Amino acid sequence: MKRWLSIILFAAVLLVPGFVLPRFDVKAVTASVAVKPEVLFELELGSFNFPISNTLFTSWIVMLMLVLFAFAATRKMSLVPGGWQNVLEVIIEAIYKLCENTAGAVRAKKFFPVVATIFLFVLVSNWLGLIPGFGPIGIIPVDAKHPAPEGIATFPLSRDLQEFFGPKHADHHEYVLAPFVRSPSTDLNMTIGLALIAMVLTQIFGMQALGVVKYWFARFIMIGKFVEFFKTLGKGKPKFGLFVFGLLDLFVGILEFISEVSKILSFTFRLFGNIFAGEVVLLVMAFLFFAAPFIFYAFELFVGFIQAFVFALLTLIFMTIATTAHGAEEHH
Amino acid sequence: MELTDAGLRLLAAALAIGLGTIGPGIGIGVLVNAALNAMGRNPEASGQLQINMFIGIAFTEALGIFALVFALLIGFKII
Repeated sequence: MKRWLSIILFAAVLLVPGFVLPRFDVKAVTASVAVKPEVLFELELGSFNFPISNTLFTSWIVMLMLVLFAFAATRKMSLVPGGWQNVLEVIIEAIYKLCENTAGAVRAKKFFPVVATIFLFVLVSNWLGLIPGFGPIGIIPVDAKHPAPEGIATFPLSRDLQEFFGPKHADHHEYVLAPFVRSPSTDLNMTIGLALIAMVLTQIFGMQALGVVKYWFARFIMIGKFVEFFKTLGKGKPKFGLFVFGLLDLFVGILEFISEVSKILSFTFRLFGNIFAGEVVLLVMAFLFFAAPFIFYAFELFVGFIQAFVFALLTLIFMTIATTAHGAEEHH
Repeated sequence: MELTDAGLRLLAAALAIGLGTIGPGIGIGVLVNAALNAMGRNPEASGQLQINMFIGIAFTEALGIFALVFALLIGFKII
């Protein structure tokens, strides 16, 4: 009974935009796609204005949801799990098993918090952007300080809406159509932040496990063969093959360094590109045929999960590789 | 018909994404083919194989995503 009530309520909420909004004189504005997140308002911290964009605002919502979920699940813990605790235990156990299988029991304890946090945060923010109402609803005022993006139509607030919002908003601002809430994954700032956290932590874990000097000399500055060459030179019997391999090793070290940097870029653009493109595809499909988005909606649910999984799993694998000693020295 | 700046931009964006997805498309095809073959031969290992397949797909697909990002950058007049 309770379930039916909530389903009906949810359906009613979804119907509101269709039945209530046409009563107001809401302008139909051409749909637009913006890469840059829109600034909702600015927090004034002394002389520095801290812009709060809609994606940042939504990432707070994501955090709040995760914290509330964790709180609800751990409030009344019992040995035989039930309800929310059961759900959370299934998720946590699955992620922990993955960590143990990939990194081994000892390192899994260290990597698990990072990997699980990344997975849950990315998953919730990917799926949150698919909720109807994320994207189409919202207007943001533009003025001289925050001009409208190029090629995007501005419009005044209609009289009905001005009366609806009350005298406080009865101004003559121009507005642009921009969502109040937008998935954090469609913001490059968020994805590059996550990628930096993942890769910097990977380097730190690597240095902790192998020692700073050994880590750098084993991965990036590989001069072991050069040292051997000069040893043979000192003995008077230089092996020039070692010199050539030393040069190769130096080059490989530089390549390794570049690949570490490019991992950040690839993390960033993979998540951003997938989720942003997904939302654009949904938008385009909605203009083609009213039922067309359904198929892509299911696909985007799948993509959202896979991207969260891939982000977490790649972090885990890079951390495992970074903390594993190369073993090239032992093979002589 | 004349070639305008906006039209050339559209053409460039379409070429970037169109040509850029050929390689990843072939790559993901080869990858999934091999993974499915392996799963057919050894169904017990399909769990680990699936994880590895998804990692490989993620790496391959990243190239396509780069093409998409460049297409978006060109299309939105950022570069």
